Amino acid sequence: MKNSLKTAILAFLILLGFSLSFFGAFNAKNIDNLAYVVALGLDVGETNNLKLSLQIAIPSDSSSMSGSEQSSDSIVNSVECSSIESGITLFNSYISKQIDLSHCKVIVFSEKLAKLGISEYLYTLMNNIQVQSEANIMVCKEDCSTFLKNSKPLLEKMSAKYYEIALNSSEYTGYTANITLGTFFSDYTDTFQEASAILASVNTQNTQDLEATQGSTNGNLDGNYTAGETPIESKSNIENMGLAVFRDDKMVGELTGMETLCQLLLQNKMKSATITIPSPFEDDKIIDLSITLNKRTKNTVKIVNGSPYITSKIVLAARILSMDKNSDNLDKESIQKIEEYANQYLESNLLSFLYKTAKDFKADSVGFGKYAVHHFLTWDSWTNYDWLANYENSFFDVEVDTKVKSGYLLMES
Amino acid sequence: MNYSKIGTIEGICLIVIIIFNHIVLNLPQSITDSCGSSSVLNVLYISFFMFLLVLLIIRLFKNFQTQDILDIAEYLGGKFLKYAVGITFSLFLIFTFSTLLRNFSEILKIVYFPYVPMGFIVVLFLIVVVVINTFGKKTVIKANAIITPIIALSLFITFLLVGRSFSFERILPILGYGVKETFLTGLSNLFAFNGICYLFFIMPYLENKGDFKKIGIGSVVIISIFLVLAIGSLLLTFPFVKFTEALSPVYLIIKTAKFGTFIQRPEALFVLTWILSLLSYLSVGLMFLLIIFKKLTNVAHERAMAPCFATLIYIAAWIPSGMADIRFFESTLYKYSSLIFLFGIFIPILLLANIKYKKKHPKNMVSEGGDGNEKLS
Repeated sequence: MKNSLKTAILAFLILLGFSLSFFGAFNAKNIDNLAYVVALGLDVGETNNLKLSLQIAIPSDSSSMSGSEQSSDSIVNSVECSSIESGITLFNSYISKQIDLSHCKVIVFSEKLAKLGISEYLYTLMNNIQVQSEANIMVCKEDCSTFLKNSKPLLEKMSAKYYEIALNSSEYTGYTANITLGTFFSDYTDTFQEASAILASVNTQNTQDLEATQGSTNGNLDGNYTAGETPIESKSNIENMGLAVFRDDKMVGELTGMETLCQLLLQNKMKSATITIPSPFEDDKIIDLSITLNKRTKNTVKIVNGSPYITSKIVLAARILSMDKNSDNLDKESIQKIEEYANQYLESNLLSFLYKTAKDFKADSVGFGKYAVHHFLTWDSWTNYDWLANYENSFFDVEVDTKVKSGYLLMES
Repeated sequence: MNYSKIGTIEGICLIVIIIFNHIVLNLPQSITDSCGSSSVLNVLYISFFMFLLVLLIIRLFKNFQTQDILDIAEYLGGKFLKYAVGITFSLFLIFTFSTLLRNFSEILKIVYFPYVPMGFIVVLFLIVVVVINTFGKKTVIKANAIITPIIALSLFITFLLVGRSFSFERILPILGYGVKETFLTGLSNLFAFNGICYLFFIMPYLENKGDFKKIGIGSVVIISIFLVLAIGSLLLTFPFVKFTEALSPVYLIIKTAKFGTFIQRPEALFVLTWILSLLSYLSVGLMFLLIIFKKLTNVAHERAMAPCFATLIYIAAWIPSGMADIRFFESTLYKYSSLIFLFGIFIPILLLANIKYKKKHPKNMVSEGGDGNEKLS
């Protein structure tokens, strides 16, 4: 019995040894032979189908030699080509190293290409073994080469790290979302919803002057910018703000920061955010609230005469951020007033967002389809109803219930 | 004669290792292709069906407590039936192992070793399997009993890790492609329990004949749990139209799984366990081929035949010209051959043998065929 156990353990070790030998035993490639791409850009070509831009990391010992205008740890090169793979082959022959996409953090589509359709590129990227489904998907308003060249990390030394953490801001602003290739492709192929991508742009004085034309009815601009419009005084750099909404594989519109926040609220994905509402106490004054979801958003879909009737109930917890010497915000009556104003403000924004997606974009970017599918028993009946086409006939009802808890350190002034 | 033989755990591991390997490759995909969003419902349904079937098999084996299906076939139809069943099942095993080996090798080549010749990967697997089999059956069975829980744990962790991506609405519409597809034609998904075929061969090697019931029921329960987990994870994570042509659905799942920012490529660790799993599966498979060969030929040293069977598996691995053929072999030939063996050959033989037995021994319930004990060496 003991011998048999020994032999079994010996056999196990042989099997394990063999399995381990598979790791790297035949791998002739090493870091010296590879060029690691940190960002990949796809644009409409002028002389060919596609303009492929790659931001390639420079190994640390040679980074100091870079004199290019982009961040010193990487270079950006572009090539006109007929497909992604043929472009990579051209790069391989040009740089004499094999392009490796396994550390690619961001895939950027130009707005122009996104409006024409990106289906074939999505499938090609998903088919690529090296490309990680965790890579973020962005749509940039300018050409990808310019966009990548302007990607200069402000507080990070490495571009790859910068791309990795840049989208964490969505967790505390709600003005953009962390959308990956995996989730984008999943939404694109889904019958429940349409896809949306991160909207990005290079923020310059020109883009601010050109595009900052929108304004909310109550004069609150802060959430109504899209990427590139935020009036920040800084050197030109990339900015992620809002979302690009797709119908099928084509981009059909942009969401502002506030509209993105609405989408996240409806999708139960909002972690925390700051909103600015008109003050119920003084005209032309505002109150800032820090909001979090208090309960999961409850969405229901009913089919009324063939049209979707969508209701959403959002329960929020809020804390007051803005205080001044006249603040007397925290008695019961005042809090009730603030709650009412917050509810009205959010409801009007949510309804405006929802009707924009239904009537203007005709794209269910929230994913209400998954609540509608309850009404169907078989796949045929669901596909025959064609939720994504019927979404434009939707009508909405939104209820927001904000519970203002308190301020932070100051209870009242 | 009371030899040290297969215990309950080892017996269960022998059966479930078959399914684990098919789960890693394209078993979940075959089921979702046929049922769509009702795949989980279908798996629960066929699991219940299989549970009843295993109870029936256990009941039918009560009169043949020292015999395997080849002995029973001989009892029922003489040497001809024994040879017919033995040879066809051996061919089926060679075909199954070769297809699975080729499929896994193709995935390894695509994902990790694009410049290594396919033949080299296939041969490496077979060499290890032959070496392990030369140690004897007991070693294969015990090594498999060590490996199977590791594989089970790795699969379980895989499914657990993608839990955050689950969207439970994806199991809707609840009836998928329809009632008929879920409950009637969906019965063909019983092929997922193909590992139960090995139950028909282990009876003579059991330490305690009462373990047969535990092994049968335990195997069905474990297979059902992992099928539900695998298909559930796949269905709840992706729109099911997405992975219809995925290389390996479970690989797709693990690529989606996230361990935070520190470990960004968990799939490499899991591929290691799956290589172990395939090796163990092939070792067990070759062991069964040798058992059948010994039964049919009465050779004294059947282990010497291990390289010959490995060569046959190697040759058969080249029959599919590419992934499309492999998919066809697995989704059609393997599926229907499994069902034919289980429902068209093994169970009818067992049923008819019981009828014959009862006609011969109207009241006597004593086991037929001498002691029938087989020694593991």
